Amino acid sequence: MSVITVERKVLEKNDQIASALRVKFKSKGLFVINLLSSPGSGKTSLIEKTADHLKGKLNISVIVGDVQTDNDAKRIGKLNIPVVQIITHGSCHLEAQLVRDAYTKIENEPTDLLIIENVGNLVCPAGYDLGEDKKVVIISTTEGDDKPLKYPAMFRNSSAMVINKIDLLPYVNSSVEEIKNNARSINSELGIFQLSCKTSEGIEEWCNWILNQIKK
Amino acid sequence: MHELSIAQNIIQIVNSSVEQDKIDLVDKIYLKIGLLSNVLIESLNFSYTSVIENTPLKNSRLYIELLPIKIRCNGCNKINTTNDFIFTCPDCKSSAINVIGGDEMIISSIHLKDESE
Repeated sequence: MSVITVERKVLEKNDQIASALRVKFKSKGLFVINLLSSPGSGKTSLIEKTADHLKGKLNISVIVGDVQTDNDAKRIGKLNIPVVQIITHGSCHLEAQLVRDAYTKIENEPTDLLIIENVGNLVCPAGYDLGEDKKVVIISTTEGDDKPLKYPAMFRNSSAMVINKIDLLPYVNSSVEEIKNNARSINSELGIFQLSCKTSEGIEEWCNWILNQIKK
Repeated sequence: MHELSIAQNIIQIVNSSVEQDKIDLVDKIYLKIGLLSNVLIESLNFSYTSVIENTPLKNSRLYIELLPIKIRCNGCNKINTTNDFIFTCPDCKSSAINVIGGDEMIISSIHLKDESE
């Protein structure tokens, strides 16, 4: 029997492509957010509200991933901002190579902020670096306040958490304090925003965070 | 579902680490996988077995060592490990901790049979 010592990361190929993408994004002066959540938490709605609020202040482009349909790209396209749809045909997460290929379609568009809307899933996308500056996870009040405890990797790997649908708090059993406590027990440095894409409450604070990140 | 993608990545690394004329001698592939990496071991083994069918790697198997979650307390600075997804310092009970390990996914070694075996 012979033994070959390897000590290589299983996802090294994805990490290498992501590192090259990060260098490219930096050279173009882009701030890149990888937006993550379960299906239906409001990723596309948050992009719509963010683009609307930052109109005239930032040039925003979007790469959106879904298992099927280009419905999200059609929604975002109505905002007259550059958007590329990735259809993963069953795969539950975006990989760096898919983002690299999608980005070539919009790389000549003037962009300050690139938002990558990942496939709706709180498990698999956590492990795949896409070359982003920040991972942002959305949780909505209808999902229950123990989501951070059930999906710790996602909350551990994110820089910020958006609690969406706070307008529904009177009708659900979730408590914002409980969501915050659970999330902070996994990641004490998590930036937290609470907002409603329906009423726009809290959108300004979220957008100010983005603007401050870009100034850094 | 990402176990299939992980299995394919493992095969690529094995193919680039072992000389092509010895691929069919690959017997055991040792992996270290952290508890926070969201890998379902049964699903990974199933995916791997499906992907190697009818390939020179068809006789190989994965041997997986699970690594615990490693946390460092910001309060008392001690490092501890946990298998229970409890993110509180067992020494001073502070919840201001940093996760410093547990999301590893590494191929550590590949064992080949001798040609005579």
